Amino acid sequence: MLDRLYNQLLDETVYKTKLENNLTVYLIEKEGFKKNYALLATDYGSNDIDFTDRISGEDVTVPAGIAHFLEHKLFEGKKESIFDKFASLGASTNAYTNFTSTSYLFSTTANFYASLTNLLDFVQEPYFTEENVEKEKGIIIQEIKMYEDDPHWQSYFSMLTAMYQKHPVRNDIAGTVESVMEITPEDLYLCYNNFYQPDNMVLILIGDFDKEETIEEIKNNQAKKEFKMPNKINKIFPQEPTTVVKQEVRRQMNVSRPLINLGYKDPETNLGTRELVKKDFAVNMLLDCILGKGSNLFQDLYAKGYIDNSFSTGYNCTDHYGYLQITGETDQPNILLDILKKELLHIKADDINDSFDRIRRKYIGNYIKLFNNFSALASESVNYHFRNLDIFSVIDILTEVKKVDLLAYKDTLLDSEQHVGVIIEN
Amino acid sequence: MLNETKFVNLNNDQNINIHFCNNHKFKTNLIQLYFLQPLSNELEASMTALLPSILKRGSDKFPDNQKIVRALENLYGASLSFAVMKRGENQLLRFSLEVANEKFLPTKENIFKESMSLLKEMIFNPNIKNNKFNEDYFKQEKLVLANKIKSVINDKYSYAMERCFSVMCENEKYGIYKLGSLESLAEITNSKLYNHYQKLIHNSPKTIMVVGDYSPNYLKNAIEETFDFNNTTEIYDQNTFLNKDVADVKFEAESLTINQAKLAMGFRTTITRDQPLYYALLVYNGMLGGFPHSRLFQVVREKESLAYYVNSFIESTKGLLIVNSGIESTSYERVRELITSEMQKIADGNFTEEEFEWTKKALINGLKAEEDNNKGLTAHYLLSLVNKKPESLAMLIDEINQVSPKDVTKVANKIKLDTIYLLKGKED
Repeated sequence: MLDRLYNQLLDETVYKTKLENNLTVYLIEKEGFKKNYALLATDYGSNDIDFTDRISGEDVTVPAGIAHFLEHKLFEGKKESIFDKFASLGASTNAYTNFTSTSYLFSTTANFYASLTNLLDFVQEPYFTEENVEKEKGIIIQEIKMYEDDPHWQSYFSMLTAMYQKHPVRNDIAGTVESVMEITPEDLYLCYNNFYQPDNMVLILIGDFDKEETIEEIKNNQAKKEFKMPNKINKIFPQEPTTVVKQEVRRQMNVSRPLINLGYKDPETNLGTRELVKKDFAVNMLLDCILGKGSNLFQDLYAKGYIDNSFSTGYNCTDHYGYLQITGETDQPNILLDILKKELLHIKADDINDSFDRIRRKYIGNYIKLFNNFSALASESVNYHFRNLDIFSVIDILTEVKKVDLLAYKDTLLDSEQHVGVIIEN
Repeated sequence: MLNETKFVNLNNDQNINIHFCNNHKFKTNLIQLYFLQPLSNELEASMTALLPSILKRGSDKFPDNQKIVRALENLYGASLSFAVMKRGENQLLRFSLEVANEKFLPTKENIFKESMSLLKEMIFNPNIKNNKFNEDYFKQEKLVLANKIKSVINDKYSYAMERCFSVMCENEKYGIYKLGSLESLAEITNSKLYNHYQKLIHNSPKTIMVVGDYSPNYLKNAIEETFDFNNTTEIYDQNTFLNKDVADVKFEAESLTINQAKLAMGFRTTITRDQPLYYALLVYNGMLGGFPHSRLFQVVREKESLAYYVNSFIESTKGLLIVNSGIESTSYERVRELITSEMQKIADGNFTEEEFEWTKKALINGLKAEEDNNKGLTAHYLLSLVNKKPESLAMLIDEINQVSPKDVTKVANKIKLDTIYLLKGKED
């Protein structure tokens, strides 16, 4: 049975179903589009290094970077390279890992069903050997080194490492050279068997295709496979203190001029999923009101030469942690950090009142634009699904955000001593 | 059935070049205005690059940037972006505006015309006093651009590539960086810049591209009502010199405090988009380094674990090809050998039917997918216009289908290594 969800404003339709093996499937109908896009994701990312093994019932800890390592290794088929298999079908494939999920995707204008089968098969048929795991280490170490030379990435992780005492969000997504060297095929199978089960995964399909036939293809493919899911997933997270590790970080890198990252640790965690999404919108809107390009503060700092268009803000939260960050290149890192910290304590209610309607219109426009972009639409659908929401309920949540929410978050988030200032300089 | 991917010329009384792709499937409408400026020297390049930043700061009716940003936010987050690009030996200025299709707005209000007037206001009605731009904006944006030029080094991948091209084309116009240089930027005065602006808006070839959900007539009238310039010159490339001489291979190495070395190898293909062999060059480049099934990825990464990324791509207006990879300094020689030997194998016809066919499929898949992306549609059409060969994606696909393995070896044998650039760590 396919549940049909329709949004009148957007004139978009999404179908949703849960298969017998508990895999959730969304089909997003995009009439007139040439390509079909599929993304298979697991609710498992770089944060998930402590958990109770579903099979043995024992608590385990695995090396940092293992989710990302798994993402690389699933592309190794038993008989042939997965890249080659997609290439023979004329489809392009990719994958990515973030803090909370891992996604595998393809995009194609031909051989949709064969590509879909291929996607399901390669993610659901792991093949790890001593030899192929060792070989991958050289490649991943080069990937880590590439990020070591990326000042923006380094300033971001310097901030997270200084902000979080225990939570694994402080670890780089790819891990470290040392943690990657430790990884064995057994570790990979352990994580795979726990998290790559249909009840922990979602499949998003976007394009112009026959929905009934597509679902049949998926069902037939899944019916041939057996999955072991004896117990529920139990991820273990350390109790994170509300205080930061340290308030200042200075690092030397080869950069044309200094780069700052100012992070604020959110004292409030453990919200319900809908509340979490609402808060995500509210705080990001707050940041746009007070530090966006249309704000007085941005314009003032720009005119004084402290910031330029590299300046940006953002807020992220999951059920265990939240942080907001402000980042940009500047010639005056110390002065800029001081001004920001001081100004953020004195945000006037008027700054929010005057800007709220304008920023809200911008967010509605951005939500409409999301339906142009298959990869963003798929990845957002995954994020919301893992929070038990569908993509259309997002616009309802967005319109529920009120000025008072922004004002309240201003007080809880910004009137805090729990901030970290990072300076990357030459 | 309406061909939703084809650009048609909208003839109009003002002789404005309007290329319109009438398309219903997107949630937004997109309008882009391009100016073409031949690359002649660094000073001119810096001036062209500085203009969009200053125009963005304020206009006559919207005297400061805050008013512009707020107006755009009110237009449901209309995005207005100004970019400086280099294609062959030309700079291209792109003024791009994307707005939500009003059909999908809660209020259904028409925001396209208002957005378009804003775009026009920003480009053609700047904040001018006594034949000069606003002095504060001029000074501040000069600094901002200087910082932007310096910041190339923050992205080591782009830095290595830019350095490779600049060593390779040291004595050619192509060697000029798209933003000019710090030295030339320092020479710009406010009145020089204003003169340059006048020249640019009046004399430079310019063109408008639209991907949107409007009737051609409505769009033509809307553009005529909004823009009051007259223009007949299309943005064709008349300037690029096709250098075929490679005497000795140049080698340049540089050391910085970094963790990963970057190798960039620059080649001359001497094949541009207007030549018949261009399609075979696309296939060749795809087989070499365009995809995960390509030679370089398979050999350097998958077989030898020497890199995380290794790729190749072409510049089709100047006739160049570049190979990029991030490696350990100590594996430089090995990686260089692998790259040259894989290229030699393709030149010798030593490749399989499979990799040839897979590459064609991958290219065609990518091009068909571009039809689902409004900016992809304009980016493709722009290049074909600049190269005086306006063609639809469908025509391009047709040509790729006709490429033979023989054409590929023919292309491979024309490609000559010109410059090797290596960026390495201090202690290496």
